Amino acid sequence: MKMISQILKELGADEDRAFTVVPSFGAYFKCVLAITEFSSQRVVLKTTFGTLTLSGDGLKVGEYFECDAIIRGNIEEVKIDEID
Amino acid sequence: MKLTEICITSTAEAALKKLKKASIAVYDCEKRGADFLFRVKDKDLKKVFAIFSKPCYNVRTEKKSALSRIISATLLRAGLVAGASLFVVLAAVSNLFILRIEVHCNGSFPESEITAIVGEEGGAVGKPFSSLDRALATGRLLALPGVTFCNISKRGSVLVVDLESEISNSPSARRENLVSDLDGVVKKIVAVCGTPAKAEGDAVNKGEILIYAHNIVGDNTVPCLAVGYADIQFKGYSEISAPSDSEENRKSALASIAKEGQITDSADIKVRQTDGGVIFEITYLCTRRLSINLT
Repeated sequence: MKMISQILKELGADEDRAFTVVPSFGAYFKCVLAITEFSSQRVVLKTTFGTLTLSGDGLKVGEYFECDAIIRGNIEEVKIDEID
Repeated sequence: MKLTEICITSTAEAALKKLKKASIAVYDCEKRGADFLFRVKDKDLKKVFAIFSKPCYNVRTEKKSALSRIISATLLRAGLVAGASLFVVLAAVSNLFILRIEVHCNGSFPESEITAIVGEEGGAVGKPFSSLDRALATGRLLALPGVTFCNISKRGSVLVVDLESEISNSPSARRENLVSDLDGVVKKIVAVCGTPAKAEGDAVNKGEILIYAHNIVGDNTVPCLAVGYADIQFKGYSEISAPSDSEENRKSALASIAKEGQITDSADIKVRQTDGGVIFEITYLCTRRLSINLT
């Protein structure tokens, strides 16, 4: 994670907007304001930079505390709707 | 981590919103029909029940954490746990104290004598094992007449005294007091067993008791064998005739007053002339050792 953070920083990216997806395992998201929709096929996360819609199967909220969320399961697609 | 599984009848979104607002970390969220299952840390349980206190949420604990289950089981069986704990504590405590004394002896010594000796060295019923001076008690028991082996051991809360004697049921052990057979002064008195009747420097008359065949335990008198000795110093006078006053005759006269078990401390000789020779008038100071049941 430190190396990824370093790369993002050197590239000039906003690290808070980054998230990590591990195929067939799940994903880690920061800056999550709310989970607005939740089912085993679809999870919608409202974040500080927009809305993320996750599709897949066997989706579960592995951990959710303050602005950090770990979604477990097989994530097949992440749709990003950024706030203008 | 100590996590408890909660089940509520609510939408996941609404429940997660409320939990986030209360800063409660949630784990392993899952939808199951109309129910929403999730896990929270044990410390957050009260907060969760407070948040979803309205009847419409139908909140319930689905699976308690291992620690909570142990605590609940313990509380439900409080009497059993308390009883078991009390038993363990009592067993541990009783193991520290002497609750019984067993004496195994092939000799003629009464059990009361042996327990009295052990008791005097701190090994009495109700006392802690630590108060017993085993070395001293063993030494005193080995000093008893004919005792060849002595072992004091601990078996649970029982103090076991094993004693072996060569003179099994021997009639040689004298079950009586040590009595003085002469008048004099006590120079030394040692009572291995029994109670001394005189102290060093005391005057003693013939027939007086020197060592009693009993022990005093508290206010009671416990019979035992008297074992020990007393050195008695006494004055004596003898007249011994000799053909003449010579060094050899004087030595011979002094030798005639010496007896077994007696030491002559000092002697004063006066010579009286007679028709056929001399008479030595000997005034002497002697020490004799009187003993009982010493091997």
